[in-house]
This record gives sequence, structure tokens and C-alpha cells, in this order.
Amino acid sequence: MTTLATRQPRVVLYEGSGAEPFAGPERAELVAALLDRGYSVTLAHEGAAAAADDATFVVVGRFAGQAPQVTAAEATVEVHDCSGRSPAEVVGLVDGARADRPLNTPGAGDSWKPWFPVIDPVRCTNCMQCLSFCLFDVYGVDGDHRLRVENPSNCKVNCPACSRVCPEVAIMFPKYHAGPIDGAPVSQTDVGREKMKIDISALLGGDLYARLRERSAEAKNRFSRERSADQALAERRRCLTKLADAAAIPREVLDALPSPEEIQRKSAEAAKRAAAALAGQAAAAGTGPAASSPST
Amino acid sequence: MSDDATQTVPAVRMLYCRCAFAQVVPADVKGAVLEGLAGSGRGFEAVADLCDMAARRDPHLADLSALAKEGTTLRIAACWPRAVRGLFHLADSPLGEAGVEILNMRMLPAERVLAGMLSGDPSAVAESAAGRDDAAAEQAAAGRIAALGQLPPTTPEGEKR
Repeated sequence: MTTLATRQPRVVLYEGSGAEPFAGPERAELVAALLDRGYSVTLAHEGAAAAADDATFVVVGRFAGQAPQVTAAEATVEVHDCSGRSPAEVVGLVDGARADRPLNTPGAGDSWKPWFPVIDPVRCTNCMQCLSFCLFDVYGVDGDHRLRVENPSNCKVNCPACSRVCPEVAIMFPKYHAGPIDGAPVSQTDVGREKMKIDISALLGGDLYARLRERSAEAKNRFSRERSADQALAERRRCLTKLADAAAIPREVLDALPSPEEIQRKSAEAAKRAAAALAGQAAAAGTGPAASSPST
Repeated sequence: MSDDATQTVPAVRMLYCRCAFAQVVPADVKGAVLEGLAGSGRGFEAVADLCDMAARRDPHLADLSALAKEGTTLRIAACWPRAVRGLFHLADSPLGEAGVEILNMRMLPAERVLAGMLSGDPSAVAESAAGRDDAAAEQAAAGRIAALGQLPPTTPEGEKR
């Protein structure tokens, strides 16, 4: 399993002097195979050393048995001759050279699907509603009290719920299936529609998390009465379906929510961080209490 | 950096995103774009997934962003321009307005993406940023114009974007 602290390894496919070029279709097939495995690829015609960086660990090319020396800043770069090898064999060669460098491979059992919110800086007003809403510490603030996606890997895959609470339609999930959440241009209709979705709390008769807590408590009570875990779980699922539909929250995410007490604690924590960020913004703008009171 | 080194920097840098962790970019489009780039005989960079790279705040994104600010034209074949800019911003490497051309493989056919990547066709870049309805209208209009054969490619007043 790879962590976000590591860069994805890069491969240089070298076709400069001293290397025989690949035929177009063969080149495309090889690059596709490497990308689908999770590698980044640089196609270099001249000066592989210039194309390499500290994520580069291997240079491959058809060197006719005479692989050149390649250096990269602060890195050891292996050079392999791939003359006569099929794309699959070259991928095998690269895998071998990678050794124990972590690689996030699409479709692998332990891979991480890069699903997380992306802020449109042009639209975001730093109102911190998303920070208050998210229970998973995805959001944070930078040194200037502006919103920042701090922990992308904390986000729940396929859940775009926070984008529904953004009054400016500034939160995108590039791998979502529809606009404007996928990054498509935002129309006035979208702004109106998204604003309506903020009223999800009204739709559900109160604060979203309060409602979740209530639902959870109801299910717990029912469980104690009926002494049937299966029935209680089924009931909880039925109740949560409405929420899932309204906010496009995958059921798995709702099922994975922490205990009501933990939700309450996390939600209070998030609200506190959002309030601190807003106070910081106001102070920086000279409109907040911190700015108006020199003693604070 | 010496003058010689400056002169070796290519005027155009191309970046291709495979979007390998999702199926939101049509497979035939991203496949044909990769074939076109690979068959062009020009150097380019390809990444498995720009989202993954941005989440890691990969320094290479900062390098690309800086290049574009220094005068190199950066052409990116990926998805919606708003999302691509957001990803670079998330990686603390915001793209400038000038010198960056984003081609949208979610919306455009491969030949339009390649026209933008390899020839710098400005209309392909403009279509990439257009909304779904606009792009569909444009495609339909182009189809009608093509069907009309020799008639001049004017757009009826009601279909103006």
C-alpha cells in the first residue's frame, strides 16, 4: 500500500542518440501499459539526464546492448536495454528495477482511488461550511486562514456530500460522473440548485448530523427492544436511505459513520476549527475582534 | 541558468493524463489521444492519474507550473479545465492564466484533443472549457455544416453561444 508521502515512480523512455526509436503503435502500447500499472512516463528524445528527476528510477530504451550512463540529482537511475522485449516484458523489467518502491496500481486490491474534494479557488469564499461539515478531517486551513484540502486520503471514496453543502459550488470531485461536481462550468441554474441542496437540513427536519444521531439512537433503542441486530440494522439502513438519496452520500459511508457520541465530538471539533479560521480571516482583514482589540 | 540552457527548453511541453483510476474519460478517446501523441514523434510526459499526483503534492507539478510561467506553453490533455486548475492549486502549484492550454478528453473527440495538443488549435481549447450543452450544440452545428457540404460554415442566430 502506498502512502501520499511518496511520489509515484517515474520511467523515462529514451529514444535519443544511441537508442533505436520505437514504432508509433508499439510506443503507445508500452506507454499505456506502464501508465495502467501506475507509473509516470517521460518520453525523451535527447538528454535523458535532463528529463530525469528524483522520482525517476529507471531509463529504458533500445540501446542495442550498450546502455548509457544516466545521472539524476540525488538519485540512482538504472538504465535497461529493452531491445527485443514486448511491452509486457518491459513492464516486468521496470517492476523488477522498482524493487520495494511503493506503487499505487490502478485496480490492485490495496490501491487507493484518488477521490477527494478539489477546491475551485476562483469560486471559494472560504466560508468554511465544508470544514464544519466534514467528519473525516479532510479539510484544514493554511497559514492565511484559507481553506485547504489537508488529508485527501481521509475522504470517503465516491462520496461527494461536502460538495452539496458548498453555497458557491466551489467543490469538485474530478472523478464524479456529472457536472458541475466533476468540474464542468457552473451555471446560474447550478448555483440555485446547489443552494437548494444546502437546505437538506430543512428537508430532513433539522441539522443533518443531529438527524443522523437521532436515527442512530432510534435504531439502538429498537435493537434493545427487539434484541435483533439484523432487524435493527435493516431499520437503520431504511432510515438512512433517505439521507443517502438527498445528499448523494453512498450508503457504505453512512454505515461506516462513527458512534453518535463520536459524531457529536468530531462535529463540534470541526465547527471550532471553522470558527477559528473565520475569526482569523476577520482579524487579517481588520474587521474582527482580534484586529479591533490590540490587547488580544 | 545560462543562455544556452534557456534555448534548450522546448517551447511547448505536453502532459497527458491517463485517468487510470476511473472510467470517467472515455477509453476510446484517451486511447486514441495517446496513440496520436506517441505517433507524433514528439516528446511528452504521461501520468497515470493527475488526481493521484496532486494528492501527493508531487513537486513535478510545481516544475510544470513554473515552466508555463517562464514562457513555455504547457498543453495538458486531461479533463475539465476547472478541475485541472483546481488540482494544480491543491498541489500548491497554481497554474497561471497565460501559457496553459487544457484539452478536455471527457468532452472532446480524440481528433479535437490532438488538434489542440499537437497544433495548438485555439478552438479546441475553447471547446474544452465550454459547458456540456454548449459543446453538444457546437458538435451538432458542426455536423449540420458538414452535412451541408459546400455551404459556408455560418451558425444560425439562435444557436450562438
